[in-house]
Amino acid sequence: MPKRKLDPLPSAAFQILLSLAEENLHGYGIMRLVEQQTGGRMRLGPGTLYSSIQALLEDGLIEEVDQNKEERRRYYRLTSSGRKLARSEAERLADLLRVARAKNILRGDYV
Amino acid sequence: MSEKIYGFLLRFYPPAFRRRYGEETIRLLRDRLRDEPGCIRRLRLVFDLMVDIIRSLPQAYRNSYVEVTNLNSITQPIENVPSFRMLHDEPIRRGTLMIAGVLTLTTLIAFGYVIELPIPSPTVSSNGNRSPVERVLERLNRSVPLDLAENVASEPSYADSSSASRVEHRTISKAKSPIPAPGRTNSYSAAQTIEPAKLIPSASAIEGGSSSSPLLGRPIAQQEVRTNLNGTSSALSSRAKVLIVPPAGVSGRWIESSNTGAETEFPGGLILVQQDSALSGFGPLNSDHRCPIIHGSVNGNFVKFELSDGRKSFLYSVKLEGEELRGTLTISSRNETRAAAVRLQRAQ
Repeated sequence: MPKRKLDPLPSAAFQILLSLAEENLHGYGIMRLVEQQTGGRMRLGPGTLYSSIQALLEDGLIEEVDQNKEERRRYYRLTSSGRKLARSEAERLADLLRVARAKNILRGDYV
Repeated sequence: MSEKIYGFLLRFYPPAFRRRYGEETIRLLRDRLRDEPGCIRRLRLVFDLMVDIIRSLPQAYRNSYVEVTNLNSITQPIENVPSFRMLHDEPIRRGTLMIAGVLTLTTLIAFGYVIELPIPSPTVSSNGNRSPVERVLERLNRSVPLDLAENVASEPSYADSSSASRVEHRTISKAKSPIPAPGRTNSYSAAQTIEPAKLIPSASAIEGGSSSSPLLGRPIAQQEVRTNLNGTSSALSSRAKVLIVPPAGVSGRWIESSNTGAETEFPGGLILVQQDSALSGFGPLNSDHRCPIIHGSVNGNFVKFELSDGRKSFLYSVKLEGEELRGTLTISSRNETRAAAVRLQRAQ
């Protein structure tokens, strides 16, 4: 099995996968949703955003969608592989969270 | 940061990136300039863009920018035309591995059962004659190869052979062939088992059937194999003697005899187990604490073995004479070593 370029999955790529979990979005929409879902802590610049999108496209984790041609924006959606990878990454982070909570690093504020 | 400056900075990116995403990055910058008015926000945007360029350049150069096509559009099956589907790159599931393992085992067991079955063939065809193929199949299905019996029967007699002191010979046991070869009367014309070659003494030493072998010290049994070639009962009959040499056997229970005057060390007897030239076993039999035989060996008629009970070691160096083992027993302890004559008799 060939090694993925996104192994380990960078946080920017993971956030992009999460933002595409519910709807198809274009580049600017992804950037805004990532900013929203991270509480403003992560603001993807154009270079990071489109480099990550290209890497995700090459790994088959997202794909382009034919949208309204008048808008001249590319929309992207999650593939089944991308969804599986996002799920496994979320499970990995949940395990880390469980360990951190067991070691009293996290207080009760976090879910 | 104006669009022109950012457009200039985009030149640091790979050309493929600029071709594919140059327009979109400018549009994204334009959207952000529109949505983030104010001096502080603009300053933060400039800072973000500078950091973003430095961070994203390595990733931009790692990408290959091959033309990524939509797999779903490719794999849409055309009606009535067979096509391949692209599978996603994912690991094999555990259930799949388990099913594959079970199927493999089942196939191997079935194959093993099938190859154990005899090859089906009619013994005689409709016209009464066997075809060559049928003969071969019959031989394959038979456990005794007929050729072997024929070869043994035609061997010359060793009693009539030269007076060489040692003749290498194959020991053959008797068995009857289920079906005689065509054109031959079959009195004893079969042999089945060939044991490993052994050295036997010259013919003069064993003629008479009851003499003892100088090598093995045991009687050599003789067995006659009579063959009658081509159905002529008297003129062409030949008489062959096949000698069966029993292996030098010291395996069994041996009881130490006390009439030699020596002390009986193991009154319950010893159990000797011989495998070719190696000897193992234990003793004594009438004790709960049995000592295993170590360093046991059989060389012709000479037998050596050693037992140790932790305090003393008993080294037997004896010679096989008929049903007796005679020789010396050396008993060693911390303080002394003494030797005595010993005689072991085979228990009946």
